[in-house]
Amino acid sequence: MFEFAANEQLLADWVLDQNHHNGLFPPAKGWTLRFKLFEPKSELRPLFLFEALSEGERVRLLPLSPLVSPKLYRELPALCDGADQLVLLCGQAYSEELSAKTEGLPIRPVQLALSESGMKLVGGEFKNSRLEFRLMKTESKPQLLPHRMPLNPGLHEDEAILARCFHALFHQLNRLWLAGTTQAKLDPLWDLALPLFPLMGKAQRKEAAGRLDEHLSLLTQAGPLKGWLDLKWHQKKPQSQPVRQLSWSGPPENRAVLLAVLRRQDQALHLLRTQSQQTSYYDPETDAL
Amino acid sequence: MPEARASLVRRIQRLAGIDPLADFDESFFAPTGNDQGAQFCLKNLSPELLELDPADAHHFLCAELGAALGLELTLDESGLFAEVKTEPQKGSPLQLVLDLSDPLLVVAHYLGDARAITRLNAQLTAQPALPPARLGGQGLRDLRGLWTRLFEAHLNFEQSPKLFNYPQGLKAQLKGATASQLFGKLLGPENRWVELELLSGETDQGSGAWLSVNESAYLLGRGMKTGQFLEPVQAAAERLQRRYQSLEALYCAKLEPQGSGWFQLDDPWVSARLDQPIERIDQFLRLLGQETKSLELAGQSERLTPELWSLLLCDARGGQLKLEVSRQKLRAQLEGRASIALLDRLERFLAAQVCAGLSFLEAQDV
Repeated sequence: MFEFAANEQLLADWVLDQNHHNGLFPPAKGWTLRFKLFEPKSELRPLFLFEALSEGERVRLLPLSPLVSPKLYRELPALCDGADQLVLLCGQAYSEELSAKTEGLPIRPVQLALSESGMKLVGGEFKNSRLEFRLMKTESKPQLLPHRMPLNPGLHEDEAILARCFHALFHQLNRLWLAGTTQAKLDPLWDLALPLFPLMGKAQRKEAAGRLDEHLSLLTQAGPLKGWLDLKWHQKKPQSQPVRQLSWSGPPENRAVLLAVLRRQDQALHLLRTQSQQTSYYDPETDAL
Repeated sequence: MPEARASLVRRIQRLAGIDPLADFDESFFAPTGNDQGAQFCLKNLSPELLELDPADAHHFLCAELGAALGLELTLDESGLFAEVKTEPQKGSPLQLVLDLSDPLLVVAHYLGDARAITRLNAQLTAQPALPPARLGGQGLRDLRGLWTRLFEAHLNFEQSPKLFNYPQGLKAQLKGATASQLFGKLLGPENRWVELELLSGETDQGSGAWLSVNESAYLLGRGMKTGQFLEPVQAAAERLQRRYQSLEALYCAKLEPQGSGWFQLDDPWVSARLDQPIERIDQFLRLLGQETKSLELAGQSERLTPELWSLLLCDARGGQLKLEVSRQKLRAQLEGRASIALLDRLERFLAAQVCAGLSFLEAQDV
């Protein structure tokens, strides 16, 4: 059997789900939950950092996946400043590796692992024993967890998150397309699709946008979106910042055109999810052999 | 609001040629021969019109509607009521008053022959700017007190054979004096396959007063005084306003900055539980996202986990809806006022073809 692997996004969704009447941090007991994009010095992936606040109590929660760089663990003690306790969250498949990495640290963080049946305590001890009691009572299974957390584009290495980023982009494209627009600048579209994009730091944003652009140009030049969507770079002067512009054919004339484009988008998402390095794409329904 | 309502009553009576000060029952002693109708619609203005002043937006809306329906709608000085009177070559004249004073709902009041009213109403509600509001089966049950005797009830629920291996359904039209008794049996709490579409029958407003109401908030009265007819209209208006005002409060997810990089997430979902799990979920996703006739929503689905799908849907009017679907549950997130019409369409489809009596607001788990 495979052990359950979870990405940061899913763990963040789990944390958000705990601010609920039978979760870990029930609002009726005075708990509030807030989050920020934590930008570690050691890497260009902004991570989610949560803070659960109650009267005189402050617990920080950091979701981690195997993709974080090993240097990050040295920054963990600094995260404890001003908080009562640090809680690390991971998927079950990563829990042993994570406990080995945090062994030599001067702090003793609580470690939680998400498995198919729910969240389990695997290391450390809660200072507030009520939290441990409530954790035993929680039953949120990851399969039906609501996906409430806005997408973090910095986590694009994970195929599932990458595909969801593009799903949101296609949604914005479809809205403009159905309303009759034929072109749009790419940057505002990303900001609309991924509300966390504008909140990221400059370097992190540039890195994430560059990676997403690579995937998008691959999809439009050789992938299933070729022929419908076109990505162009515009530059006023050679030294000025390039503006990326998307253009596509006008509003769908009939339902068949709409369905053909939706199918192409679906294929593009499938391609991103499976990350198969297919360079040409053949759609038997639009062009016959 | 009462002044606006009273002025509307006066306006309708003046249009119909009824003296508001005369104190007798004209429906009996001096029948006007007129039937009355009222249709509640959502005010679904296009984004260009939303940027304008309400009065200007109403002018453009009236011009747009007039051009589409071939009528000359005139807006009064206040910019809140539009009226038109048609004089056909044969038959009685048809009068229409559009009440635009509510920010969310538009009420169309008709006076004239029932058949002509219904025909014009079908044309009016087909306009994208005025999608019909949804009273729903539950709303109809709540309005049960308006009738003294029911003579007609339509039930409309038939599970789509695309989604279920053994589809269930109850489609019926009950007519006649026994409808009232059957109705009592059918609407017991144990019956979950009943989706009401239309109720009609006698009211206590004098002899021959007849009222029929359907689930898309269309009321038709026969042999009633204008003032009397506006009572059920008022009852329906209160219920619809409650529904749409609370829906408007449940807006899209908001990120609230709290200083020094911290944010709080406020994301109310509207959610519903499906009584019978959907057996063919792939077909369900296809029906929702591929611009089928009843829904007119387009978008992709993305599988989040083996049991959960996410759908981002939009329509040509700029509305968008975010859905999370599992076999037994459905959550929806609205993106603004334009999304409410999409949610209505979705709810109507689900109530008639997936799960009877479905109501997002009542099933909400907070």
